[in-house]
Amino acid sequence: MQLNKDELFKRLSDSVVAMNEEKTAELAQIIVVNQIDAYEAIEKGLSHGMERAGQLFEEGEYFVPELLICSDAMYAGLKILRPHIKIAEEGKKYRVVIGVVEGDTHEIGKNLVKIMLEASGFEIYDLGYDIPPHEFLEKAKEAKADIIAISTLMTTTMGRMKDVIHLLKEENVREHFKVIVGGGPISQVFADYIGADGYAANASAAAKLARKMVSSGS
Amino acid sequence: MTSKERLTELILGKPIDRVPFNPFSLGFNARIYGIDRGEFYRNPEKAFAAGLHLMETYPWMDTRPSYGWADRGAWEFGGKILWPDNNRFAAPQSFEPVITDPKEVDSLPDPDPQTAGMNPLIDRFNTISRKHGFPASLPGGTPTNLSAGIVGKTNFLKWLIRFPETIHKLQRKATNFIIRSAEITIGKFGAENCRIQCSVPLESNRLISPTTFEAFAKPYIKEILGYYISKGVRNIMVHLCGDHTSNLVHWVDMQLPPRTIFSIGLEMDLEKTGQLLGKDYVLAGNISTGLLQVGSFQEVFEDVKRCLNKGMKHTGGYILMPACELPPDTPLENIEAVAQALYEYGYY
Repeated sequence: MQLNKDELFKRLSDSVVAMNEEKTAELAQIIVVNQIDAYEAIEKGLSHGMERAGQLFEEGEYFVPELLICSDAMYAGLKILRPHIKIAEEGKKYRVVIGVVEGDTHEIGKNLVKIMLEASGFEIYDLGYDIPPHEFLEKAKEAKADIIAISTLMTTTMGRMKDVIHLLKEENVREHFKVIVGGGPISQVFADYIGADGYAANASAAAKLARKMVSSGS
Repeated sequence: MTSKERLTELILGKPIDRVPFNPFSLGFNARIYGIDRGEFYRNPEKAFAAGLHLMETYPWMDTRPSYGWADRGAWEFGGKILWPDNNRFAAPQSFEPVITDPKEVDSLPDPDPQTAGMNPLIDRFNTISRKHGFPASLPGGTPTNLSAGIVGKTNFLKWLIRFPETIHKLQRKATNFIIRSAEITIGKFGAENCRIQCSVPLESNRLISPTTFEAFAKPYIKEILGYYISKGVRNIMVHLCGDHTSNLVHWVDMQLPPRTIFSIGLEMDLEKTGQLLGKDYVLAGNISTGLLQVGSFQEVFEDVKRCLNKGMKHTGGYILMPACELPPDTPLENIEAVAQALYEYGYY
């Protein structure tokens, strides 16, 4: 029986949304065994599923626990499919350096943004948490990043975001990178105030914003 | 009115001269006292002195010395604490999970409330507080804070779906620990001399649904607060950190004593929250901590005006407060902006 690849991709997407790690891995394996294009499966299956999960999150149907487990399912599939991507297929990869500001050890929000960005095809350089401003700059230069994404959960460390932007200006590289900020206490008003290029209220919105930024060049 | 008179009359539901201001200040106290936050949190006596210093420096504030932090659980249950030495962090933090496998929960030992984690430090703080006529503080976090500290926040959130029974076991352990800790404090100082500031960060609807709150957090919070109330504690503040709007119906359902104070973060609306809570409760909040930290004098002034416009409409009474802990690096001129706006617009 000929496998219908579109049907397989749909089932892959469904299994991510359903938070079914085992099923996602099983389907990913079927795709590999049948030599179906792995990159297409990631795009139309796994990433598609994660985007749907992100949409459910924006609609208030899914919350952070659901999103985290959806991402586990996505990564279970990625682990199987990634080694089978043909290099030429990938096309231009936009790069994001992401981290939590100095003084803050809360990573969940940042990790969710990372997940959604990866699902959207970005190459991620995850610095982790408690990151001094100069490390954002150094990594962004080293990786030739397109975007620097800065997160904080705490009001007491919000000011560090401004420090990163200030450092980019001091080093005359502000125009080289787009800066997006987010986290519990952050707002559009705050982002505008510190001179960030964008603000996202949640992980799904962050991925959309990042895609818009790289596609429009603005 | 003196500050004590103002707050007392507010809690009694009687007319007051102006809106009180609670700075919700901890790390800021350390800064203006001239000590780093590591020293502040490691030494409750210094924290108390720093609190007195704040009162002396800003007599218009309606405040008292404070001590404590939200990120607990790991240290209490046998893990490590990360101190904010050299001001690297805002407050002490749970450094890493104590356990990471759900199967380990059953064998997790119950800590001794006399010696575990922050408890001995808060006892020292309470002893000095009582000597100065201030209330003693009961354990401030919810069981969710402690449970998430024990297993790590990411695991906690995932296990809500993957291993719900394990979460209930953790919440049970955390609740028992909080109540046993409170027994000691109430026994030592008397319920009438105790207060509780119940900080609620992880139950925000940006993290979990109201259904999840109802199933996994509410029963335990209700049990703990019910215990305090049964012992005669009446001085209760609930700090809703984040957006808890969809949880408010459950907070009202808990039927906390009249005159309980609900302080809210920037994500919630003062007027709407006041309407949902009703006139039996006192409302507090929610000056933008972002503006306090990096805003101009005028921006802070306008934001305080916003809070006063909305908060003073609440017939249950209102306290002006930052949306969360006053950022330690808040410029002093922005504190002056708060005072100026309060004096211009905060009188009844």
